[in-house]
Amino acid sequence: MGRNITDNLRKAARIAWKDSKIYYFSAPTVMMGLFLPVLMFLTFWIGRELSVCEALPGLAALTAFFSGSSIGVTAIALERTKGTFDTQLAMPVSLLTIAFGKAIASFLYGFTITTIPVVVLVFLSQSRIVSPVLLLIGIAFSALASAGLGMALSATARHVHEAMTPLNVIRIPMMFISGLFTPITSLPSFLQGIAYLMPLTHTVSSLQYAILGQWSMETFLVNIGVLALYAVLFLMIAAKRLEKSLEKG
Amino acid sequence: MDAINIDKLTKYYGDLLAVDHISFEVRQGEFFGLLGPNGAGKTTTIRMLTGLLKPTSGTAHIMGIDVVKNPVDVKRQIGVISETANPYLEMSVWDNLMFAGSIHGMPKGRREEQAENLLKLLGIYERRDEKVENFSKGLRKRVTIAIALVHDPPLLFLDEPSAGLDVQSARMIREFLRKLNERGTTIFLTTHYIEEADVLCDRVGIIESGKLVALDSPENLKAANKQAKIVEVSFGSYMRKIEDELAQLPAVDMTKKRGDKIQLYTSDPSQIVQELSKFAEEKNLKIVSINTLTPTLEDAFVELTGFSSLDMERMEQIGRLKKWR
Ligand SMILES: Nc1ncnc2c1ncn2[C@@H]1O[C@H](COP(=O)(O)OP(=O)(O)OP(=O)(O)O)[C@@H](O)[C@H]1O
Ligand SMILES: [Mg+2]
Repeated sequence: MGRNITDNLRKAARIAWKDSKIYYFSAPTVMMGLFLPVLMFLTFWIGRELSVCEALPGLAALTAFFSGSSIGVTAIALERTKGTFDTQLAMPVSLLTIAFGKAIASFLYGFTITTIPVVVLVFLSQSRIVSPVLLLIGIAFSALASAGLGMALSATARHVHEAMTPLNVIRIPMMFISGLFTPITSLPSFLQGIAYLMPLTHTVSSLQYAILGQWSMETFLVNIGVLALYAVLFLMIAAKRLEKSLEKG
Repeated sequence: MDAINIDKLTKYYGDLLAVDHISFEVRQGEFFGLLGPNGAGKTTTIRMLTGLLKPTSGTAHIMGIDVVKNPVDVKRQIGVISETANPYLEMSVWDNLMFAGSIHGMPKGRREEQAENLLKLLGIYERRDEKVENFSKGLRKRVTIAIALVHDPPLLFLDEPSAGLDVQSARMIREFLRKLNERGTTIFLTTHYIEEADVLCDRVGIIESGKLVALDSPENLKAANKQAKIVEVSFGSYMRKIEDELAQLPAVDMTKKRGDKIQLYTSDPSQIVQELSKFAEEKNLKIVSINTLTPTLEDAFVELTGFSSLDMERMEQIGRLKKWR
């Protein structure tokens, strides 16, 4: 059993390494990944009476939630179109391990792409943030949940758009009720209920605590717990849907 | 223990019955071919056997292991070269093999040794550091073969290994497979090239519309077909009208044009010869030549499936244009 787990972890790491090299950490993807959040940040920041520090949770939340899943969601569909997914399926590794390995690559990318601009901005603006460690934890769990979401949606897709469309249908409305632009408490009550179910809401809230000290440590822990739960849930869904896709051929 | 044991294996895609309760065994060390026209269910069968597709019902055991219950263990025992599978184009040949070897849990030293041997055998060792995207179709196929064999599996599956390759690449791959089989690897391949099945395989299963219609050695398949004899006749030049009229003769089951000759399929050659001379007399035709032929595997195939190899080539071209995905 123990040997089995380390064996699967080792295989997942191999897959993550391979995916990182092929899809994520190429020069154009990294440049694009860094460019987009900076652009988002500027749109968010310019014309508002915000300090860099106040805008930082928004920037970090959007990047953590958008960068990893944007590329991750294409990973399986793209391999299906290219015929490399069959090559992977022919190797002795479970579907859950494949999904997990691919999610790790997506997570590493999301985490890196978010952390670099955040650190640079904090440094340049000499901002004082409440807790750098909690900030990194918040970013990490957000990137993890987002990576899981990408896998869950990609699992049955034969073409990239089949996964990209539902991803955007989920992500974009989520942006508006996650407390990113308007506080959740100002939303109508039924939207508030939905908002608390959204992973992005917990990303925003946890980062607001880590950077600005809003809310409380208890809320932060709940946020991290919910994000972790989502990460696990999404991975399970991804593995189930991969299994399902073996029936269609 | 059989290398492969299939029992009533069945696949429905929605309402479409693609593979219909097929059962057979493949012995260890055997070179087995599944032959059939386009859409017969070859790919569906091989995908079910290799754990890439879930059967609707029935079972398959690979080296004694149930492929539905234990797909990961089965994959340790087999190498798979599927019709559409590709190496990772963005990686080098070498990295492709190292990745596959590591997923198979091979230590670095063994991985490297095996990769070196295989790439040398396949003639691409010198190009191991190049990305696969630079490679032609034939060379990519060789990389795919190397990936499938990196863990030295006792059983190799190949779906249409020579489809779409030029004659030279196809011959090289056939030669390689023959040597591999001589060294003990069990081989299961699908093909719609009758020639290929005839020259390579110890036994051939013929599949048509999802059903296994025959299974035997190429020689026995040809012999079993001796019932259906062929009488080849020439009246000097071919005329469509004559072929149509010959097809109406009582003893003729089927006709086929062969250059200026017409082949008549029958179970009673002597009856045909009588009918032919009467026919020639009535129509005032002169029989230039008349021959009885021994059936080829192609004849057996035509007899069993109703497809000729010419039909198959035509369908192969159409098939390439309209892939259902
Ligand atoms: N994923 C799928 N969904 C629906 N129908 C399918 C699917 N795959 C195959 N089919 C259908 O199932 C039947 C068998 O197809 P299969 O690909 O197994 O045939 P084949 O013998 O491999 O043919 P070919 O020589 O063209 O490769 C065909 O009618 C085909 O259209
Ligand atoms: Mg096929």
